[in-house]
Amino acid sequence: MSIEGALSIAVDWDGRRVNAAMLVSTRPRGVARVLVGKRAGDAVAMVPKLFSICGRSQAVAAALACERAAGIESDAAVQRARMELVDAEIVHEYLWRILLDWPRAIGAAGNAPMLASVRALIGEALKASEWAMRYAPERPRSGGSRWDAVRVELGRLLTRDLMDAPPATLDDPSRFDTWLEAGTSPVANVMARLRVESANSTGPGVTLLPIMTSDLAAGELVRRLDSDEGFSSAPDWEGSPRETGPRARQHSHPLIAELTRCAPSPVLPRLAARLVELTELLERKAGERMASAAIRDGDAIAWVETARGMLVHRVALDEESVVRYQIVAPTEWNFHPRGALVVELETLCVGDRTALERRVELLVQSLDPCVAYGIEIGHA
Amino acid sequence: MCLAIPMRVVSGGQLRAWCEGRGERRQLDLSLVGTQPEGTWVVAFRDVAQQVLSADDAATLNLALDGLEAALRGDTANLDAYFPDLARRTPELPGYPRSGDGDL
Repeated sequence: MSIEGALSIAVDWDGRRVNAAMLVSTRPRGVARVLVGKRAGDAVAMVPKLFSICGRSQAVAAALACERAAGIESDAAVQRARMELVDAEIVHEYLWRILLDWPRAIGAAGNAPMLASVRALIGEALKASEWAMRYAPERPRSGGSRWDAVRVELGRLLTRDLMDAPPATLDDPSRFDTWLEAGTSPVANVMARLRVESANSTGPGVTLLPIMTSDLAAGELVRRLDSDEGFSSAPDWEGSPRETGPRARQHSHPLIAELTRCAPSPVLPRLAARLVELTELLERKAGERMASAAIRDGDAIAWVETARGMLVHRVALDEESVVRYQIVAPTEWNFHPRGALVVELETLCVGDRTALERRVELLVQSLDPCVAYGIEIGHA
Repeated sequence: MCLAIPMRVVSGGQLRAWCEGRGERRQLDLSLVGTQPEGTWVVAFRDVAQQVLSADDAATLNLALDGLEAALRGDTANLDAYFPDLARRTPELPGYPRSGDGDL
């Protein structure tokens, strides 16, 4: 088994309904221990090398936690550059889902050439902000960010080529429904088909993770990290597993609130939440997505809202050296053994095996794990 | 969590290629990086080749992952050897192609 690990999803189906679902993860646990003993600056530099899929968000979370623990305040230029790194990484992930994964989920080809162009554009723009991934960085004297220009260009691409509609289409549920039903743009077409394919009711699912605050992070989150060794790999909140990610963040948006209330399955609300968030990021309307809090001298916690949900880094320093490091990744919340996926799978009533395979696959994809997965359907 | 591994193309195809890395052999989707000649290093994530890597960058990533495996075994005595020159460089990470990568 490679070090990446995988999720194994076993579904017990009797031909009419799912009786039970079990999720086993072989992802390595306690990977953050590799950072113990390192100087804070080295630990921050190591993080994006190791956790490269959301490497920029990981680096920013590490820098925020280590700087807070060391009592270092970052200036506005550092904060802005970090915000751009995280924004761009979310935009990159969402465009990947929209251009490649969603079309493939309905058996279409996807648009790999366009995604490759988008990735090159984002990669070039981010080079000017990568200095901010360091610990206690100094702003370079030359070279300004190109993210604003790229953001505007990607916004045009989204509304003109992919949605063929203005972002305001997503503000009003009836307008969204008309756009979806017409299905004339690539995104509306794919979402309309995914809505049909995911239509089986899944029941209420798990509660959404609340938006993190300094008080909650330095209080309840730290209390759980301190008292439960298994928390990093199977986190819960106030005693129950929670959903993190775009739907949790956008739950009060009019469209997402309406879809969550009316749609039989959480698949469409999750996809729509990504689209809403993408337009907000490209219009620079999105709110704060990162913060840190001191716990005590030399001990701090940071959280960053990433494409897949809330990422937490907690670090304790002795002088400049890491003596304790904990990371809770968003996939651990959504793919908890009793988390969103398992609970939703266990409410599925489907009489056709092929249809069931499609429902399971779409539920997994709507939660977007940052690790490979396998699905096995059988009957105990 | 969010780990990707370097793999080397051993048997090329237009859309998919057999690749080997870290003791595994997998067929990777090449649609993001285009057709690649045998011997090319790529970053693999969920069976998709995300990005072409130079041999040096592949070695650096492999060494960092070796360091992580050593730490997970509890072998933390000499971890610095797995992360040479770390703090002196701007972090470079796989995930986005540099211009000129790929063959689209």
